[in-house]
Amino acid sequence: MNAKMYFSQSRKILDHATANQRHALIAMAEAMGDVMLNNGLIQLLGVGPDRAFAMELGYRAGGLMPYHQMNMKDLVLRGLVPYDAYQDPAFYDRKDIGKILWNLYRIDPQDALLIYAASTVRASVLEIAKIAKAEGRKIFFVGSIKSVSRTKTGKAMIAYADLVLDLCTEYPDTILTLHDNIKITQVANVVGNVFAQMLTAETYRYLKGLGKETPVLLSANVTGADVHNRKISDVYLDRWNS
Amino acid sequence: MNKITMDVFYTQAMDLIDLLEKQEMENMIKAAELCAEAIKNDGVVHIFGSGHSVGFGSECTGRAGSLVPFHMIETTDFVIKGLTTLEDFKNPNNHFERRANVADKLYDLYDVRPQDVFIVISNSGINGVVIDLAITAKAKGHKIIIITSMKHTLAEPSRHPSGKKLYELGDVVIDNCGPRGDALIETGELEKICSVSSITGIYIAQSLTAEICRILAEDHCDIPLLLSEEVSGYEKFNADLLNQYKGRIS
Repeated sequence: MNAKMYFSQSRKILDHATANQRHALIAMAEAMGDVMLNNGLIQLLGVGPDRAFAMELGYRAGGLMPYHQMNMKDLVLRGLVPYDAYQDPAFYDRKDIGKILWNLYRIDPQDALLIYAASTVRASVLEIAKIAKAEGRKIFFVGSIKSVSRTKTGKAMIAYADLVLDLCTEYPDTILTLHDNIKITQVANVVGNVFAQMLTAETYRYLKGLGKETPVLLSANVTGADVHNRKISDVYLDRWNS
Repeated sequence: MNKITMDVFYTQAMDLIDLLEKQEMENMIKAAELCAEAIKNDGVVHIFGSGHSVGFGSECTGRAGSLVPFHMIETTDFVIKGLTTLEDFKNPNNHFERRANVADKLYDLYDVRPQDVFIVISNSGINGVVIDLAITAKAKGHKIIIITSMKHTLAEPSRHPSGKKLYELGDVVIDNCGPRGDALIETGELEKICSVSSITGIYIAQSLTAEICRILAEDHCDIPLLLSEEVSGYEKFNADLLNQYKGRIS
């Protein structure tokens, strides 16, 4: 067992997932483009390690601007939840937290919701999907269907989603065997982050093809980027950073 | 210029992953050796990145199959621990991650022991906070592992008063092999699209875990891994392990 095996085994999983989800990727990218065309933002949500996908799309160098990251940690930073309560392993299973988080942000009527949960949909996350559904919003879900379907919350999440992208990973998603039945090195977020960038490419292609604006962020660590980024982010001021 | 499609991205990204494996495997193994040595000596690996580099620490911690003695440092700890206000932290005219002379305070927030190792991640390697923390940790005698884009960092001036770049402070430097500005695909306009450093970051994070476990196993040492629910007795094992590092990893 070594790192080289992680590279080779994860590649096989990536090749399979990207080929298998080809149509779903294009469909989701174009649907997200339609939200953007209607001056909507995509509200991005994931908790714990599942924040990876939101961070890969939201305010990201080389990414499109119309996203907002919902972050459970904002509840602590804005003084709504004590840090000790946030650190409780069962925190994300509190339904009430979902509603508080949703109400924390400015979410306009034309906004959509994208939820990422690699293997487990927590109750607070499902609560947010439920609210968004009740408000008639478009819901996108990205996760391992095989993994999330193990639980009631996962099944409900899939039912709420208008479009689903399947990571095609196993449960658990650890791919190297250390010894006996001890497995290490997760793969779901590799697939997730590659999917996120593929969605960016396809949404960009879709909007360009329609002759529309494609507001792309520059790395904030390149000389001159601040002026460009401020210009395109100010269009969504108080929304992208609410 | 190519037509922009997901296939163009996938091809270019996989070429970059191949390059990372070929070019940086030796450095990843050296970094794993430093971490394994710290863990053998009851040490902790502190991981610090700001902005989207936070994802590296998140990828290393908290799941079945993750090593327990990894501690994620986040700049939001400044707010949570009362060292600054949220308004100051989010000031768009004075980006927090670019500031110098604040990381001393961050270092002092945690239970850091002499045998501990630091991993500092920054794609650009030019910002004040990450360079500051690396300087502080180095001055305290810790081994430092840097993950950065050499193409990016060599093309931009340092924002730290010392003029140093992050890579200059590393005992081991892992080049994530990404382009300047992080985005991979030319669009024919000012901006390129589709960034890669988070993807290469996951590969590096998982490679470190694999190599640390391999080294510990070959040396017949205990491997402090979180077990999954498929393993009999996992709850007590995980609880005992987390208790062993209590106060040092969160």
